[in-house]
Amino acid sequence: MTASTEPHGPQVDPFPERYAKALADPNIRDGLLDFQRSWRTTRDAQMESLEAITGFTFGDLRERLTTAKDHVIADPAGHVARFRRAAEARGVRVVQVRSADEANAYIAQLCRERGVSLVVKGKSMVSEEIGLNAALAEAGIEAVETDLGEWLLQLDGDHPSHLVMPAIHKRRHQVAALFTRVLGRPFDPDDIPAMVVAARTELRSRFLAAGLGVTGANALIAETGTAMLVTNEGNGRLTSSLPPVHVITTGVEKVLPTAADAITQIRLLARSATAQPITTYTTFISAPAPGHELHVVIIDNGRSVMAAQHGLEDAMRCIRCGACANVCPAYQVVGGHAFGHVYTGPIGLVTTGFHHGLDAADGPQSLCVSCGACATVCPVTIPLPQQILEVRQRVLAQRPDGWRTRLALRAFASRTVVAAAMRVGAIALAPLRRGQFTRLAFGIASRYVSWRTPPALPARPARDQAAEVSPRAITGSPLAGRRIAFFLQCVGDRLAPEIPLAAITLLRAAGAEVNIPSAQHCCGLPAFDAGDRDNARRMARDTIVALEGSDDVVTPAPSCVVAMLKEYRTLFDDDPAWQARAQRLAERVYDLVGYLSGPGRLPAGSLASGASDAVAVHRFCQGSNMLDAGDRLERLIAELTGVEVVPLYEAEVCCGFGGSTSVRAPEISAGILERKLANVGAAGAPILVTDNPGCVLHLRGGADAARAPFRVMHVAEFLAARLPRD
Amino acid sequence: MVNTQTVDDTIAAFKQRASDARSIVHEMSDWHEVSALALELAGSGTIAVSSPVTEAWPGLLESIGERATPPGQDHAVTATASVGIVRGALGIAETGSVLLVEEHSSDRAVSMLPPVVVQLLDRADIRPTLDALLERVFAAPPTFASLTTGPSRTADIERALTIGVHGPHDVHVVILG
Repeated sequence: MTASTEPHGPQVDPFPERYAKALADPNIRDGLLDFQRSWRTTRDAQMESLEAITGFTFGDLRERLTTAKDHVIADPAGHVARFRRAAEARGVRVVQVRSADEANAYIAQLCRERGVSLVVKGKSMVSEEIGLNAALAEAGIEAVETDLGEWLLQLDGDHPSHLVMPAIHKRRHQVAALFTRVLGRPFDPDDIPAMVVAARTELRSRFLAAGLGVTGANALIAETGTAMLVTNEGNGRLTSSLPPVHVITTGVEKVLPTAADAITQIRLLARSATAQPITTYTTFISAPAPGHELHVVIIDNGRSVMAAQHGLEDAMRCIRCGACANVCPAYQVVGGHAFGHVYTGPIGLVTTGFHHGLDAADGPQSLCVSCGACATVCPVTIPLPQQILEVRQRVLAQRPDGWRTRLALRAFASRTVVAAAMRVGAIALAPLRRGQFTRLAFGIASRYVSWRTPPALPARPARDQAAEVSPRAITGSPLAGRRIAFFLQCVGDRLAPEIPLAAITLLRAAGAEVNIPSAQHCCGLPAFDAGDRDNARRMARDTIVALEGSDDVVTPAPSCVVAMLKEYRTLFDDDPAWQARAQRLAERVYDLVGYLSGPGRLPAGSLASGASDAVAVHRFCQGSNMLDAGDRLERLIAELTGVEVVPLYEAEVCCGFGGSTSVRAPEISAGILERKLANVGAAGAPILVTDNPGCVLHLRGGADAARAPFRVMHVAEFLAARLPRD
Repeated sequence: MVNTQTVDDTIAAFKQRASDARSIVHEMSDWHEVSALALELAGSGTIAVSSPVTEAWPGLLESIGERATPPGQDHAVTATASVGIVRGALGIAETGSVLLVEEHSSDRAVSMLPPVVVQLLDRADIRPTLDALLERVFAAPPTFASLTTGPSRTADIERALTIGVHGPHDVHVVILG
């Protein structure tokens, strides 16, 4: 990521300013909440009907398109050469340039040679990436955006906040005010058709007068030398057809091997982008019109460096559908100006460093909560969560104060240091302890605690209390004979011992022999999440060693299971011996819900005693997105207890705890939490049950600070409280 | 494909999906009925006709009469037309799309600039799936081909669907034969 040293593209404000501005604008989060919800509903309906219409599932098609894209990633030069040969044979001028400056210079020179002073533009993210408009303006050439969203942003001196819906951060009253100001007559915010008519009228004269049109391309088909262009408004067809010169600005990532691949992309693109079966116009351009010129400018601008990075090359599959942003809970809170750079949303966090320098990638990447939702909807299976963490490692490595993070995590990696610190903390904060919480002095309104009451620091960690747990046995001791190495998880052990203790109670009551290996500490996730690979490996190795030599490993923390199943693989990808040991752990580790739903299954109704208040269930986001957990927690509760589980809207959307986000960007955590608490409130159950201890503390603190009318419980607490009593 | 096994199924699926995309679908026995539709849609305005139409149905231009403008006009002239008439080279049932193959810039203007566009499509040219493009478009790629699916639209302001931006506001698909 070092090749792109000089920043290119439009002038973008520094990240802290963009972040503060986004947080201060409620239009962004309100608008994006509506947008994400309506997109999710319509997109899911499109994918649902896909098989009946095409004979293929989303999974089938994304696998095909992924394979096609991977062929190009394996041999970009060969595929570009094939495209070039076919296109040039039909009179297309194909130009390959290394940098943004070269691309801009080529287009400006073309304008000069053809005497062009007015350029019309279709929507092109590549042209945004290279800062084409500003470069043309410098050369005395006016460039007019013709996509409605892009045009109104241009009028406002603004820039896109989404790959597909560029002006999604603006609400109708803002657009009406803008049109009123610029066009000099009043516009009614609720009359969107009138604004659209005004755009048609204003831009029609520009289409007819322009000497050159610039568009992007959604695909370049190597087999036939064809550029594919996908639009809804029709501005792409006009831009490419009316002016005598058409220039396509694009990158090698748009190349597809065959026409059949382009059809696969058509089937996925609009469904993923705008939740349509197909857009209004899908245009295939293979040659210049008689008497016209067609230039295809293929721009590298960091792409070949990105393609050579192990672990990041898959980002070159991106078809710019924007689906990743549409499910990203952090994006909903601040929008694409903060969550991204020129390229916005999760994919923008990966690609920005290559196009605009690693500094530009630093701020936005810290907003990712690692929930994994983006990867579930990506139509080309880009492993975005892993890639964002990979970028985070690189950012941390080059940050001048990165040593502080590494030093802090080095200390945290030591069980004895943490144990000592927690003892001191518990004594110091004991006077502020009120039940489950630490009540700070009235009036403290820090960005860290105003929205989430911190937990109480317990006098004794779970590990010191585990031996005292000896519950009455469930009839028949269904887990008799099973030997379990229990992984407490650092959060539960030190901050919420009631959670691991409840889990131990359950397992012992069911007859299992539960041991607590004393060398255990932290799985390493916090270090991995912070981009500190060395400390993550250190903690991962300690964890693997501590848990070796038992039958099953069970933990009340599914986040640690995700780390052991997914992150350990990447951590040890250059170390076969440790990889094998990590694999042996992966084969026998379960989170509590997974265990009780699988090998540790208890008889139905065995926890049927106790209160019968209905519960709502928050699904741990990584469990849903990375472990395919689905509704297993709801089913487990219903089956074991018979308690009614009421539906919770957006149950699988992250609660905002998300690793270290609440430390690095607490406003993001708070914003996501607000969405979750509102959904839980609407569900109307007096109890919220979930299965990851970090989420429990986060939701519990948030519910307390917001005085929400429900209690938050870990599933282990909820179930253990229903064990038969004497 | 799954639900388009027979010719009738294919036609029915095409009509349904084209309507879903807000095209207005007509069925006519031959091109003679088209001029009446075009004149009705044009009111007192002019009717632009593209060259693939005059090649396929040489009599249509004359049957419309003086309100029709022949192919090859300047864009500024075509922009004043009330109706454009174009030829669909294929209909695709999978998406309700009509494929336009338009070599000349002036023909593309006919399908894009007038507020109302009539797309004429032979019944025999309706195919079940997008795979039909492999033969019709990609075996010998034409200069410029577009799958069009309903009228021009935008959702750029608060994702509110609005019909008729830069292209036509009304698209009539006429299945002939």
